[in-house]
Amino acid sequence: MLRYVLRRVVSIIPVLFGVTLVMFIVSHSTSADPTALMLGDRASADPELVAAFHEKWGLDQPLPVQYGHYLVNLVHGDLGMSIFTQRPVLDDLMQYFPATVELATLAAIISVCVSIPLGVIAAIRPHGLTDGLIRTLTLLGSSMPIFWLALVALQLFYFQWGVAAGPGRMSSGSIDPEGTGGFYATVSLFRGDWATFSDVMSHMILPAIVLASWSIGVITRVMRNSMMTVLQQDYLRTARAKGATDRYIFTRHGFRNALMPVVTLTGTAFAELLAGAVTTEMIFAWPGIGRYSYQAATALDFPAIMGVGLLVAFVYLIVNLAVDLLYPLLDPRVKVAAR
Amino acid sequence: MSDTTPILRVSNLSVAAGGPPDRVPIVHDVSFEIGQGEILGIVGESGSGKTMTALSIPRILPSGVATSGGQVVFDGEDLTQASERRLRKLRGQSIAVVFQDPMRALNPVHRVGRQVAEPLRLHRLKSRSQAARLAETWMERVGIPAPHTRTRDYPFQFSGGMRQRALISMALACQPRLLIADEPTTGLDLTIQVQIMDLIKRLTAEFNMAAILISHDLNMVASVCDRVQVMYAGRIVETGPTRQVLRNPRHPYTKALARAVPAGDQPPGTPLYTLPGIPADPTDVRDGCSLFARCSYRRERCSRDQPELLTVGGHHRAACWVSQVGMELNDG
Amino acid sequence: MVETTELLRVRDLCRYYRQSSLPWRRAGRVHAADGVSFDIDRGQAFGLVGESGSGKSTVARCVLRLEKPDSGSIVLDGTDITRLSDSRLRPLRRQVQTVFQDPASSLNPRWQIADIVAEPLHSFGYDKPARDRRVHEVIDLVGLSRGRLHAYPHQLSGGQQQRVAIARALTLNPALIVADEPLSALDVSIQAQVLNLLLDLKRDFGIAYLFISHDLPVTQHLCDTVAVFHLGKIVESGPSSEVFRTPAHPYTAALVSAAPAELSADRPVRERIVLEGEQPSPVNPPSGCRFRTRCFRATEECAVTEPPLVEISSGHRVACYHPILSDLFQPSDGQAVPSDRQAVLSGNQAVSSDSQTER
Repeated sequence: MLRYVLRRVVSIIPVLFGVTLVMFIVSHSTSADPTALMLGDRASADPELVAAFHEKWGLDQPLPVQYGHYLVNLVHGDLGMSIFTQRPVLDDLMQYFPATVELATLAAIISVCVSIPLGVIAAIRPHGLTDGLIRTLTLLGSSMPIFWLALVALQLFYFQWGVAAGPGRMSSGSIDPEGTGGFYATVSLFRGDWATFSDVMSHMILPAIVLASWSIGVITRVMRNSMMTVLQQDYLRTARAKGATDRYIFTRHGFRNALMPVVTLTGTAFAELLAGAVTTEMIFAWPGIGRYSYQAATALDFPAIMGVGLLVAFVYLIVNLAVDLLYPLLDPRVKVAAR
Repeated sequence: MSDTTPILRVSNLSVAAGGPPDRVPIVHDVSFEIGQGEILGIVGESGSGKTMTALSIPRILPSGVATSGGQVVFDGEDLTQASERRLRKLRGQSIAVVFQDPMRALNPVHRVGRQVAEPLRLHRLKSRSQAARLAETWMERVGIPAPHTRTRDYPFQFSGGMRQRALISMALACQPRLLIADEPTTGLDLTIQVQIMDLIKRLTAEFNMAAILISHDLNMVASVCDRVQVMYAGRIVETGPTRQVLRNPRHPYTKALARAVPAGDQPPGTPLYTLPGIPADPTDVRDGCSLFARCSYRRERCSRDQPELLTVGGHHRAACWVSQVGMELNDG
Repeated sequence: MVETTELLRVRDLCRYYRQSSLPWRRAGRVHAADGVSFDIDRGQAFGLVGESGSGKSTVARCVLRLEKPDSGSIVLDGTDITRLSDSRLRPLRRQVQTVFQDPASSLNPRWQIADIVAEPLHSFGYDKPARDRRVHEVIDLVGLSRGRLHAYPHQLSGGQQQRVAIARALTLNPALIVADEPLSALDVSIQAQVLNLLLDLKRDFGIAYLFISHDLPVTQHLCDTVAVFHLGKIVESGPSSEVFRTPAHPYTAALVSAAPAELSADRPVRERIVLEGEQPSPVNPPSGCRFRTRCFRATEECAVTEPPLVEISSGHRVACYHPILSDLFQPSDGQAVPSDRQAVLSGNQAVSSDSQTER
């Protein structure tokens, strides 16, 4: 098993190199030039300034050389300097990513906790009233444009009823907790710092629900269909013939088998959330990777764009690996094949 | 044979499928009984209602299908009137079922030993380790080699024959009084089929169980059953002691089934006796005999009156007007 | 009658499948076909009988050249097709047609019956009137009503679907039909109808069959010659009535005793030979004779070298060191059967029942 994990981890490396190459080619093949954006109109008219700018950021060298430099630095753990924030990209990512991780994790927890029970309930009596209601609601949730949902949620729950906190990660005026590495909620929870924890959570809950609305719809539907398929399997009839109660059949023989496709989907959905919920983070002023990537893209900040892309690819691969490792726990057929 | 009080008596059982507006009958007015230690074969083609008849005994019919009349008296108790709770107590404990296709009848993500032990856990409230030990004994009894290690395996690690043995051991774990085996050998290799049939015969004798063996293969059933009944379009068309029915079929359908398999005494290459057309649909209720359209012996009366299942000699009964007037079913 | 000349000759056909779990691990080899030889004459039906996993379908796929054999030769009508290129093979393909086990999945569900049956004609340049004529001919031949020509496969019963598959195989007037378990998906009474059709086609048009089946009575009824297949090897072959009436190989004897065909005949029910255990893995077959682990006549000798296929009477070959030969010296009325033969007939007591029943 350990060898299997190691092999899988090692196999991530070539994929990441491929990602850097593709992203490098794509981002540098645009005719756009960050010089004008960064120096302003007047300065970009001055060839000396432009040359100095190019030299500083290595833009004067041929593309293969630039890429070579990038790779060498990458191997040393250096993702380059962000043109826009004038800070190392790695530092930027370390600062913004934890906020996104916390938000995405909460959204994923919400979607799993809501959609699995909903899917199971809907499958008990398919095409019944409950099933219809659940299907309509979840369809609505996943088909609403996210910016609209975010604005409506903010309007209702924050401005009108005041039951949730407003944009941002914490209330204005409060000082960001120290030494958390950006994981405000997680660390304050472990420290028992309830004041900080509840403040962070009250800010996080609204964007998390908005984010989850999409994945709830998808996961509920898959859970429902998967459960319905499993409920028609012959082995459930066998269990019935043994004299088991419906409840026993449902929980012991149906649920775990039905969960398998849901695990894969949840993994993908979680990776999607981690990759940056740009709209949600913008509207809720959430200092996460989504907002950072929006800034980087508008400023043509190549090192930052490359950094975000690399991070997203890495997250996808790791989540996929996690799903693959989780699978054998549910399905013994996979366990034996992996050995 | 069945001179003692029967363990199971099914009378005038009907089964229907679908919701009230478009409810269609799939089993019509079926009656039979089984004595202790007896093996009854129910033979018919797909859609003949043989499986639905058997599954309505412990009432484990698929959703949408339900008994619509008649009685199922098991050990003096009418199961059609019994509560679901009461039936749950009987299922797996007094009435056990072995299904076709053991790969799909076993849960792929649970260990085989645990599945075999499940009826014991459900009915005898044994501890986990006690049940596991008993399950192992049963797996050994049905001829699964090295049961101690194989209990830890998953169904996909078993061969088809071994899976069927595991299903049988699971069915027998609580020592039921009635075993229902639905096509237990379909899809298995011939030599394995023989092993499984041999096993079922041996175990029913050893534990003095009654058994219902459902099959589409008249001859395979014949090797183990004391009595057979042939079903066509949801009705019993012929029933009696196995040899008598096979040697001297008195219903044209049974005859066709028996002759559809080339026999050793028939010169190779000669045409086989066949019924024209395709099996009648049990949901298509009309006057007269359901075989009428395909039968070469038919009389005028056959299109009018539904033939009754009447004796054609001792316990041998057939539902055919032609046989009942004493005519022989000659090839013609 | 068509003159009996050789149509297909298969010699030493070998086909292995690499069974690789991981690329760097040493791969096991599945011996799906291992030195298989047989002939089919024009107008003759040749049956290949065996259990699942014995490799009989592999032989069929090699004859159809859907797979290339690893070694050996396949000669069709005088042409060696073993390594023929696809373009050279094409004109020969019309001589060999095929019918599969599951008619529902071998017919395109979105095509009408007429189009399915006409399909092979397209590749051989028939114009529309010629195609229609031929379709009507074969549809009549297989006993389908012309009214069903514009139906779709799902509107037909299993037996009718198999008739369509047979009609499609017939359109090009093949000399050989490779039929892989064509009856096993059908209900018993429908099986007999289709079997009668196959017999008619053989008699009327001199079509030869490579008939692959696990059903002994059906094979005996249809086929002139037969070969019993076990783990990639032919263990017994010969005229089908002789092989099935007086099986010489213990495996054939067990299969024959398991086939419950004779119950309806007026003779004593034969005791069955219950073979112990299951077919060994084709990846690591036992040394020597591959059947010896389940054989009730095996001796130490059987574990050493593989028994060759030797002729025991005209055309009847068996690969066994201890064949059941007694019937050849006995009158056919079954009197005075020597003890050897009796052991097989009453297999249950004498052979393997002790360990089976007393476990």
